Amino acid sequence: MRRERDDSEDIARVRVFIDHWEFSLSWQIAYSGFTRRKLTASDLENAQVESQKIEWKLLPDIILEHLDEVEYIKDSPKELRNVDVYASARNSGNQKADNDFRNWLEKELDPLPGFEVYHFPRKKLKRSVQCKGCGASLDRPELEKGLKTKMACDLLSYAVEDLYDIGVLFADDPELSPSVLCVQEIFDKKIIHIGLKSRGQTLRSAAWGHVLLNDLMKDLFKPHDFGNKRTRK
Amino acid sequence: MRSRAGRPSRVRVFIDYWNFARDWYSIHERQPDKNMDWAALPAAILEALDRVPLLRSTRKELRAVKVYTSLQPPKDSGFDDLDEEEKLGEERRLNDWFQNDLDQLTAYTVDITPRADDPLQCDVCGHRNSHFVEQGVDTKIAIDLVALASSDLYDIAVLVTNDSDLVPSVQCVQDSLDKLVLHLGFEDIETEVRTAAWGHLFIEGMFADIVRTSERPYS
Repeated sequence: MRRERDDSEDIARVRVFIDHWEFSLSWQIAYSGFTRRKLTASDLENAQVESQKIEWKLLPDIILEHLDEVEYIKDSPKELRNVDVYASARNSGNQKADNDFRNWLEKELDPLPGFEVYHFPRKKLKRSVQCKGCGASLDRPELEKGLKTKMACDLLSYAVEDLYDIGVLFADDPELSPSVLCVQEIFDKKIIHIGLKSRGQTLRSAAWGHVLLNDLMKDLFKPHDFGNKRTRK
Repeated sequence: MRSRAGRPSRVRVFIDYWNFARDWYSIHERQPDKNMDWAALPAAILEALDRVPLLRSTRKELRAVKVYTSLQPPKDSGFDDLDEEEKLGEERRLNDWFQNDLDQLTAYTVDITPRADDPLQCDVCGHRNSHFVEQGVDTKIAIDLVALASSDLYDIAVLVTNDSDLVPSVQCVQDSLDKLVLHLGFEDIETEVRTAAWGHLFIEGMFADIVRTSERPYS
């Protein structure tokens, strides 16, 4: 939705960009902190499936509430325009769970109001690598193809078309720093990074402001997962 | 492409170095002394653009050639088999060539991305193997394509890469920012970038101008 920018009392248009895997991983780490459960390697592997526990439909309101606590922008009225989720389903070895997850992305997450899910296939590299210790063939992880460039391109192209004022970024990859700096310096947009304190430092430094994911956590559980969940107004 | 009232069309060239070099090596496998004459490339591109039917009548002016690279040669170059000291030596040599030769050619800028270690642990013996990957080169090209177009700093982009990750940015600058993107690559290597781009050039048509015979460095 484009609009004329000559009104000084404009509502700040908020657009959210979520790297699904990185957000899921951070959420899983934060979740284990809240539930005081020791995180295992398989918990991290299952982060994408576990992400279905997140209260996605509450996410837009939660983000807006927390933006109202960020210095310098807390007094501006805000309006959420879109939540873009960039996902690349991993093959966990459990085919049913993987299929269920893809269905969930397509049939539950994408139809939520304001949500748009972009799905990127993963690619296995053809060239094999041998272990320098024993010569065994190493299993190279599948790589997501095109997700980061699509995110970088969208951050930039929506800014070029003046489709947002505040970009909220759930991602940790420093690859996105140049696009963050570009939209801030050239297009006068504000990027707010949301993530764990222990991850995504480069992106958090590049961003205009940040909110720590831990501050959102208490609102992001489903009631059966977290007994003390606050009732939303 | 917007008319610029008689002024020449500004051309920018974007090159993903290792993506291009891999194809170059595979095409010239049987002639390892066949090297690329980087200094001759910009003029060869302008000449090739003059042969594109809808661009024939437009005057063209080269603005910049930007080469995006990392100090991470392709896997089949044997780089991974070197020990750490040899790797450092090779990296220094590459860095020296990128900065003191290629970058100093007229109109060229080289953007070097540091390589990132993404170690692989062996399931059999537990050994932690260094595994370096090129990270961020494609996003840098995507950003420059869009950001320079939005600041109206070129009219024609010549894109030298087969990385399909760049398709959204190609579509964006063509559809929203009214720029022309031409893919430059090898005729036999099919790529989604060529399909997405407004037009294309084949590098084989430039061989007479840009292939030189010399001892083969990474160039």
